[in-house]
Amino acid sequence: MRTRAAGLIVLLFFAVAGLAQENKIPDPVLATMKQELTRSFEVLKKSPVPPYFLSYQLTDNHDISVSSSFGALASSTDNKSRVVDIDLRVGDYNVDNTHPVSRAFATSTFGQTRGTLPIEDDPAALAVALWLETDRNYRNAVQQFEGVKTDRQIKPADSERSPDFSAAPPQHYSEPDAPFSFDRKLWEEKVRRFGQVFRGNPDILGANISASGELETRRYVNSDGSEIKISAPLYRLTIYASVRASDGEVLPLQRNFMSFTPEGMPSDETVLKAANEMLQMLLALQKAPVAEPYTGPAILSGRASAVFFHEIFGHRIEGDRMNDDDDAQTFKNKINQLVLPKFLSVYADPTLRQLYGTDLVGHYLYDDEGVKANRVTVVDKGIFRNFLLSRSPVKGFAQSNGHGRRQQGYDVEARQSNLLVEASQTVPRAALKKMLIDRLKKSKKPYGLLFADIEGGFTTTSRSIPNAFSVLPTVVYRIYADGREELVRGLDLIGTPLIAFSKIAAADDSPEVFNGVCGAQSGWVPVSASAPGLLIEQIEVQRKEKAENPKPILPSPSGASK
Amino acid sequence: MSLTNGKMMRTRLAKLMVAVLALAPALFAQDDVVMKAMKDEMERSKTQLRLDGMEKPYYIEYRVDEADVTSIEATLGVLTSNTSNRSRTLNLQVRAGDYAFDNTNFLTVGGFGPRFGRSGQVRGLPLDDDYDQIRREIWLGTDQVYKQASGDVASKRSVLQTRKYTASLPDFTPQPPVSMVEPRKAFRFDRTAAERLARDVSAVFRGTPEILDSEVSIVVRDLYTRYLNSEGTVFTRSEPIFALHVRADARADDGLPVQDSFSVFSRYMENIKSEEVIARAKKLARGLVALRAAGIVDRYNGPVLFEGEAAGAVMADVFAPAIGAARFPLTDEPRFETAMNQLFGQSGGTPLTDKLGAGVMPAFLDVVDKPRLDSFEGVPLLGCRVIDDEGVPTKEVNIVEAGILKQVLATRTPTDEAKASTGSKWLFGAVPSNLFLTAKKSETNAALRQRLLELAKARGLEYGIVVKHASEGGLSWVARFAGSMATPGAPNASSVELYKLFADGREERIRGVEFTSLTPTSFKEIVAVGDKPTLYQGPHVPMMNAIFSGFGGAGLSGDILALGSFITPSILFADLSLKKANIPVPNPPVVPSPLPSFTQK
Repeated sequence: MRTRAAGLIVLLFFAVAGLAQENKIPDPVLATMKQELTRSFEVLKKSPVPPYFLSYQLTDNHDISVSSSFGALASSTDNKSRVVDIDLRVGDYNVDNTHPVSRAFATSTFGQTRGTLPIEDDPAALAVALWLETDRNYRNAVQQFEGVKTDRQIKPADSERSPDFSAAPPQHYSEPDAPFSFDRKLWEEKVRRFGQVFRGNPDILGANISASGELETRRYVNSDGSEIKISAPLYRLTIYASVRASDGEVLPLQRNFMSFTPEGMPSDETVLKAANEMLQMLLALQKAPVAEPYTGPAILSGRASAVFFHEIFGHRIEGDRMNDDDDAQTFKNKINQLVLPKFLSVYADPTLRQLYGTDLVGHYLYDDEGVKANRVTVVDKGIFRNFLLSRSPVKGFAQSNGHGRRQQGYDVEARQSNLLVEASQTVPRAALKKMLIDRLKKSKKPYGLLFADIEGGFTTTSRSIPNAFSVLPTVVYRIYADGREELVRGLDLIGTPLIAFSKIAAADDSPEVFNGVCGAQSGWVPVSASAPGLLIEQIEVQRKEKAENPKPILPSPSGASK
Repeated sequence: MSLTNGKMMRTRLAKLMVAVLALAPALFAQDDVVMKAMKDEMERSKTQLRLDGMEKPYYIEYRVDEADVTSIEATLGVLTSNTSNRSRTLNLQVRAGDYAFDNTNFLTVGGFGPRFGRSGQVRGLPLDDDYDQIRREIWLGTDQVYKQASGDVASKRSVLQTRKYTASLPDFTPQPPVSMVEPRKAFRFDRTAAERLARDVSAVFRGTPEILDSEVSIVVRDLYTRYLNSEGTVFTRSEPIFALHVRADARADDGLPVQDSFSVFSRYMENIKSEEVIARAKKLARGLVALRAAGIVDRYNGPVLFEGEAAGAVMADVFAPAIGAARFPLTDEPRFETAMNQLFGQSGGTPLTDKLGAGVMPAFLDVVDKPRLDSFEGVPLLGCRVIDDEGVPTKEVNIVEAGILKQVLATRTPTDEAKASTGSKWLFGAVPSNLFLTAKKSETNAALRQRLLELAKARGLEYGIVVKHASEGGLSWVARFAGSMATPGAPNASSVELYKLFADGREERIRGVEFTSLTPTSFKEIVAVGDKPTLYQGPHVPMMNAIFSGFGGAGLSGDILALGSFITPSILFADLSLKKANIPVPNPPVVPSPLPSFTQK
């Protein structure tokens, strides 16, 4: 049922996108980019070390943001910037300047300053800036390629090695500038008002509310003939608050609201309700007992499962890692093998714009290499099928599936978009709790854990250190065999990926969405993950890193003045 | 503005003046929410803030800097950046112990790397005049800094137990209370005009495709400071600054990078004439295009004449940083202390403070710092200030008299050479404000040039070297070093404008050379100075030792730009060394500039 609803949205969305494509509007900036790219490419092609590929990605950012601390305005800014990312490749698709080399032959670009670009649309100034940046990139590419050639003469040939770059069909897509409005004065008033909720309690350490409207316009041209312009607004509201427990531990909570439209932002009542709930939860957490390191069964709420999957699963399906000999490459040789319980399927679908009424920030139509976004079936009924791919091929997967992503200023790598974990067999949430209690009784464990909310997580996929993950929960309950739930504090969920996957026992019927930003080698990119609540046979928790903030010597001055 | 201090209280007249003048600040202080929050939390902290068994806070200082900063950048007539930012920051300081011995001037090297015993913290304050929130931040900051300070003074005492400590210098000097309070001045700034100026000046370079890259940047900052310390000093200060910077890069025919730049500083933009700046940018563009064909000198040892504002630049970049007293922190590692002292002695020249009482210039020269002078020949002096960053009223300081170093500039951190503050604390440490080089005998510019040629001839040289302009920091070793680290191989050598002067009066521009031993001790080599002092205004460039001392002492100021004014006649040095700059020579771009195809349409 749920899957069908999602499919419907996708279809509708494609219909809209199709219309926009018909309506191609000429863009003077795109025209200058194309003209300068063609001019440079033609001249450089005649040089002794000719490029075989050149692309410009021009990103315009218009960020308006305001924030308050305990209801007093802390910042209010309105800034515009423009950045260009150039991919210039010399050599050929098989071996080019981006080929991994030993450290001795690596080219350092340390301290090179990126050129500044005009934020006003003047063809001459833009062309000069692009020309200078192309020149800088060309120099680096030639130097890198020399290192690659030398390195390859010394190192034995690697038969496993895939080509460095894959061809992709040229794309033409141009959207009009998206409507964008963020009333700064209005939002200054709002963040002041929302922040009042947290005033007056001396143990509340931080109460920051920030709101922003960001319009990102990405223009992309390449030497294959692609021309793409995407204009994407994003509106955000974040509430962050923390409390000091009696032992000095700092306990944080965060709520995020994200939307592609101003209308999609929550009403004042919704925000105030959320802030008040956070305050009550903080005051409860402050008095909650400190949890002990423990291993036993646990339930992860949908949001917690989504982060769990993003960390322990999502990063291991990013294709570029399969070409890195230092990466653990968990799934490299698991194609068509069972890696998850048969009732679970996993998709990566950047084309999906909304799910369960929530905008998905991992949505995009074209990736940062000008490749059309694709829905990818990663795991089908427990069986591993596909990686997320950029234009760097992985052995057995020659073409990009539209997951080449980057933060402006970084090199593209295959990254997650919208990660969808779907279960073919589900039980109601209450039944999941009952299953946990049954397991407690059977194993004579005193309690299980419920991870209700999390702030994020991290993992490593390197071979040199253990491949562990950590999910950082903020709201955790002990569930006792009699059904009682007790709020506890001070622990992180830890583990190793393959064991964790094998312990997933059941899923509930209330999937949830987590919107966030994900940081890795190609910078910070917005991602979404959705998953049902999960019962896990066995998890391990460890004590949280201690963030301490001892009580001040003097009492709070507030109130003394009035 | 009103000025009151302890000494004036003695006479009845002074009492009356104080009463009248203090009226305005009293009213202001009542209305001003920020100052009220500072005062209320100061009162409470002074009397109640104590940790059992630890040393008490004997000195507390709050400074709130309120800044509106607009930054505009442009190239080829279009903006590349246009941002503005409002901020309110609290710089707070708590010293534990007493004036003789406190937590500052201390550096631990062992363990996990160096850590300074600092007494300061910078934290953001709400932009709103929200008394409760401002006071809350001051309360939390004071608490954190006091806890750290009381811990640091304890570990400083423990380090001293392991060695024989002979130094008897106190850590800090007391200061009588002063009150100088005025409400914030209305700031005059037309953003649209500034954007236009940036566009107009940068558009000059559309006509010179030989210039690879050019940039015009404007920074406009309105800074209002509120200051309060536990000794009772209270002051406020308005310091608007307008700064315009023009930079252009090109490649000579042989591939060597050439660069030129200039800066214009003023209190308000309305004092800037855009036609003059545009004319100067055009001159820079023409000069840079010509410079591409200029010759290179491999090595030059001989007389050098710094003319006009270049003389001010050499005073600002080389002499001024050497006359500020800087305390070297006590460390827990004697070898480190010795090594650092050696290093700072070598890098960029030994500070002149060791030469107190010795000759540092020829006998016909004097150097004096006049902080309270507000203009020179009708031009407002940016170094003018009545009170320094530590709440000490400024005063005239005679630094060099008849060539002898009589006094050095000092902060409230005493050193062997300077036991009391001269009211010179600014940004990194003790720096001059309006520094004058004056002479008992002087010569016309023509006579100076003649002397230059005579000295050159005596050396068997065909020409002498004349310096006409140096971009700010262009003659400073520290600034060049910092610049080359930020942008490796940055072509900074040619931002000093050098000419060969031949016997027939012919001038020939040279490029790609740099001074190798232009140090504070070089000023003993002055043989003559000109009869027309020129004003040069630019940022202070500290020496390494002052930066180090700044970390170890009361901490760095939150200010982004400390400007000084230098009034200096042309200076002729008998003997300086220049050599070809060692900078990388990149290949010229393979693809020609697209600029001509746009401008020739």
